[in-house]
Amino acid sequence: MPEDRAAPDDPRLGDAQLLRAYAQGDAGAARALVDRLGPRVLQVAQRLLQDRAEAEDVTQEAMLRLWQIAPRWQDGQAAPSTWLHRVAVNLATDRLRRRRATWLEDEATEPAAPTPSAHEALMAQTRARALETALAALPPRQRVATVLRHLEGYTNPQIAEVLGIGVEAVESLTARAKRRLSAELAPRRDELGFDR
Amino acid sequence: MSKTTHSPHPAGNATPRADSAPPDAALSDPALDAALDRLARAPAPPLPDDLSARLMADALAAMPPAMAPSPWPRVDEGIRWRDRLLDWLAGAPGMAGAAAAGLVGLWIGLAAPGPAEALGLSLQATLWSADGAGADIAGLLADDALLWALNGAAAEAGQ
Repeated sequence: MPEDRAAPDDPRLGDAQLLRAYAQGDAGAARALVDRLGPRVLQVAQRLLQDRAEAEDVTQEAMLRLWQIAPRWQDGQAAPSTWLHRVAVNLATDRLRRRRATWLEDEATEPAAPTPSAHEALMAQTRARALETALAALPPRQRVATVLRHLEGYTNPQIAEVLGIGVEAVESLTARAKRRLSAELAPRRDELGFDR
Repeated sequence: MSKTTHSPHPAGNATPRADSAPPDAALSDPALDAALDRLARAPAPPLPDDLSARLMADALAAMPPAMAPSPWPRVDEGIRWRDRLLDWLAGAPGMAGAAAAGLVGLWIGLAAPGPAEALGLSLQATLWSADGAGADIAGLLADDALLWALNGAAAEAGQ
């Protein structure tokens, strides 16, 4: 195993510096980048796909693309974390599109009351976990739009680009998703502390 | 394993809702917004070990080949040069021979005046016995060319 020459937890080293070090043969820089960037990539992939194995595959593929572009990385372009994040989001949405049957079911009738599984989850799990569960219960495109907008900080035009739809369609998706989340979480708001 | 400390909004927004107001503005649910914000700011859990190992394996496999570190342990630079010299001189025996030759050369260089002088005295004795002119010749013995010429002349006289 090649020796690690970079301090993995050295916060003074930026991601771009680490990427350059990796391109020059520094395995320690690779370790630092994996530790810094990997968790968030896996998290967003998991939130979008709702499938652990697929989320790990997306994470691995996105990171592999980062390693491959490292020798050609140029300062001044997007930060490595932003670049990697977008690659992961694109890979995840591509996989969602391939699940065509579920990808197109956004217009399914919205439930008037929480689904039993979501309801049980709300009672059994923590506040954050309950919200994650409610997000997971959203139709795929609503979930992608909501996760990107409210958890990952994308703008509506950016989401429109990722999903290949118009900005107004994104706004509609996020609005419907929020209504649905509110409905899902309403019965347990006090218990979960959502009004504090 | 280090915990991520990166911004929860890698797309670059200062806030998740910095762009134009969406049409769901009428759906005012501050509690839900706060819950989403908290979730967005929560640190991501660390990678599972097996995934982390796979990512590192990919990273090492994809490392540019010209710059990839050698899989062999590093050796001291001095030891590396010694090994190269040994290889060039056909190993330790060759190096010992070269060292012996060097010492002999040094000895010849330092000890040369002694044997040359002895050789001159020996030749002087020979010439003296040949024609009796040794006293005049002795002062010329330092010049090797003259010495050899005289030696040749003496040999002819002996014949």
